[in-house]
Amino acid sequence: MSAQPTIVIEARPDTIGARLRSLWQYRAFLGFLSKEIVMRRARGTLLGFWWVLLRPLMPVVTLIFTFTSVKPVETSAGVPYSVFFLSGYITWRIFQSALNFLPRTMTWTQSIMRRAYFPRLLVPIAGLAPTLIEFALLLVAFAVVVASAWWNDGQLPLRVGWQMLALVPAVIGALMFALTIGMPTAVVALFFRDVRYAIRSFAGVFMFLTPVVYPVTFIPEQYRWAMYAFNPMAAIVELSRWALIGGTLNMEYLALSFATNIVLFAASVAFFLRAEAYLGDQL
Amino acid sequence: MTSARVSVRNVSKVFPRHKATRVRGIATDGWPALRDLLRKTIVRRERERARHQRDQLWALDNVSFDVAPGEIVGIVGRNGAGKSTLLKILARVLSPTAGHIRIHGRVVSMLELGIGFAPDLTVRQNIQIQGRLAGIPGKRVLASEERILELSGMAPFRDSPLRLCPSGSAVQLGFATMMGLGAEVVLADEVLAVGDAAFRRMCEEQVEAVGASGVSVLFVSHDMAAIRRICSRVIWIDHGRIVQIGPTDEVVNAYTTELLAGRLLPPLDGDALAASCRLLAARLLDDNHAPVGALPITNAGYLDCLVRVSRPDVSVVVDIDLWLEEHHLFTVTSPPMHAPQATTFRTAVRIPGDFFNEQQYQARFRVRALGHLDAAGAPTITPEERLDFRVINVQRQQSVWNEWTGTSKGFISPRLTWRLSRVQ
Repeated sequence: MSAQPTIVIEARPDTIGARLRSLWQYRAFLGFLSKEIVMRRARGTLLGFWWVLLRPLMPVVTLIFTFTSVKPVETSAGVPYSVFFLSGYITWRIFQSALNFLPRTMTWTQSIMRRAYFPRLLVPIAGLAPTLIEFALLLVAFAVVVASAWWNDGQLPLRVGWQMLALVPAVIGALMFALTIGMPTAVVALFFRDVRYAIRSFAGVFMFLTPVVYPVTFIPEQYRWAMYAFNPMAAIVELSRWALIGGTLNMEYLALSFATNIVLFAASVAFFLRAEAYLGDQL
Repeated sequence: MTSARVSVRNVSKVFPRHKATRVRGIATDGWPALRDLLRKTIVRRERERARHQRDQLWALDNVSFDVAPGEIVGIVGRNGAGKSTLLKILARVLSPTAGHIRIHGRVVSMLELGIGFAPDLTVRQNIQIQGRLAGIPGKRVLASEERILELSGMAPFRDSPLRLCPSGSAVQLGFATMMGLGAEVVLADEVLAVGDAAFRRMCEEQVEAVGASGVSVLFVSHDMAAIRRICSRVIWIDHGRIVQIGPTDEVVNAYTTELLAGRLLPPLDGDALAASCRLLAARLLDDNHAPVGALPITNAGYLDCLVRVSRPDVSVVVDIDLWLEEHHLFTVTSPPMHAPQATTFRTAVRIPGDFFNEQQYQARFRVRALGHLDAAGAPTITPEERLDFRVINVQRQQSVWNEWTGTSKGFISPRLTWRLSRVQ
């Protein structure tokens, strides 16, 4: 009998450490939640899971077409626009797609949360699953675009080397910022559905405040610091681009941007963990 | 103290009661609820008890008890008494406002009917998930899988998605999983409310069996017969407080007596109807004019109400609509009431014995001013007051159902006279 675990339930919320420990204890539940969230989109649709693949590709085609054929953009990166665009967009899309899913994850899993205990933080984490699938898909699309550019121009538009590993911190940074915005909105979305619509429009506008479709040189030098300080995605997209196709990278701006990101992320996690204890009343 | 499997100490739960506000014409309690959440998470101010007292609902108020290993504890009380809140707190779906709880062992729970956890996953995957949630290792879950499938009668469906299984079977699966996983504490909320007699019997046998093997069961039910059969101890909760805790028969008897005495009627709220006439109270009385909540089928009773008429120029009547579920059975109207000065009238309609069936009825009281039309040309009517009451069959031999086996069907069951004569 003494081998049994002892559960202690107190009125005041558990400490952050205890909360993170229970996150680890319930890690097996993450797979189930992710699957539920991925399949939730597919339920009742004709194309089912294929939507997960289709959705991110549609804007890619339109944006590339617009900025190469309709209004060509000069990138000065020495690579075709499609390669330039995708090298940043694949990371940007992590943020955009996560903002698409995260606010809805809490409402989707409401009935599960009403029935059983598990650390609620697992919900936004599992909410990143469809985003990661989209990311893998965009990596494939990027490879196709690179291969076709190589075929056409006879030279590889990539800078192969160690710096490519910088894609990893870029992806992590994008996931962090997505959670930073996504977790509080997921909580608020339980009260108001409006945030779901608002956040999607916000992500669409935010893309044009980030050097995704245009190079960062489009922004006058004296304003660039503001972009990096207030928009962590700017440095993340730049880092991803630098990792894949090279170019220049301002380390000071990068550090400033990541610092903002980390501070905001910590605040967002703290908010979510505190709100967790009171969420039950609202479910 | 140390031998207790579950020990609950001074647990309270306060729900903030949010007044719905209207935002752009849409009623919502979103704003106050969100404001409350943000206040608690960001500002982290302790609740200002005095100021908010009116807007709080004390779902549980200083509840303490212990449950020993192998003990089957029933929890009874009327709707909204706090039974489900208590189970949800034990299952950690809700967090308590005050107090602390210590549970030695793993907990499985069935809090809302229709486990329907993951309708797209197969029966076996659903069992796995339940096991994971309870913190039981995958291997042990696999070992008990066969038994669970057998118990729930779902063995032929083991690899088909839950949504394709017969609808009632999800509940059976949920119950069997809960019982078969081998956790130390089982929390069951109204599992007996659905399912056929065979399933209910299976449930009861299972609960007794796991109890005998040392598992503690906390069991919420409105089915007093089931509680009497399987529970060794009963907790009676009302308005969030423990009214009585003790041996099953003692507590259940006290609870049913109280239920019949009608003191558990929903409180009448003084509806601010500033019209000429007002319905002050509506009650069900027994033959001796004592308020009750239920009426034995053979006994007569009264639907009684107090009406305040405050203007000399109005004459009012009381309309009582009798409803059974969504069926409007009939309407009765009182004689007119009027007086030279403000007067409170008491009027009651007698319900004969052997008239209503063994059902849950609803009487809807309205006061109607005669000869007064509102601006739209409709008669002036007060908002209706609804009174739920039950008719029970305590002495079957004396009721009209004497010669009958099976369920007593029908909206009403009046005792009518028959004429019988030989014609040849």
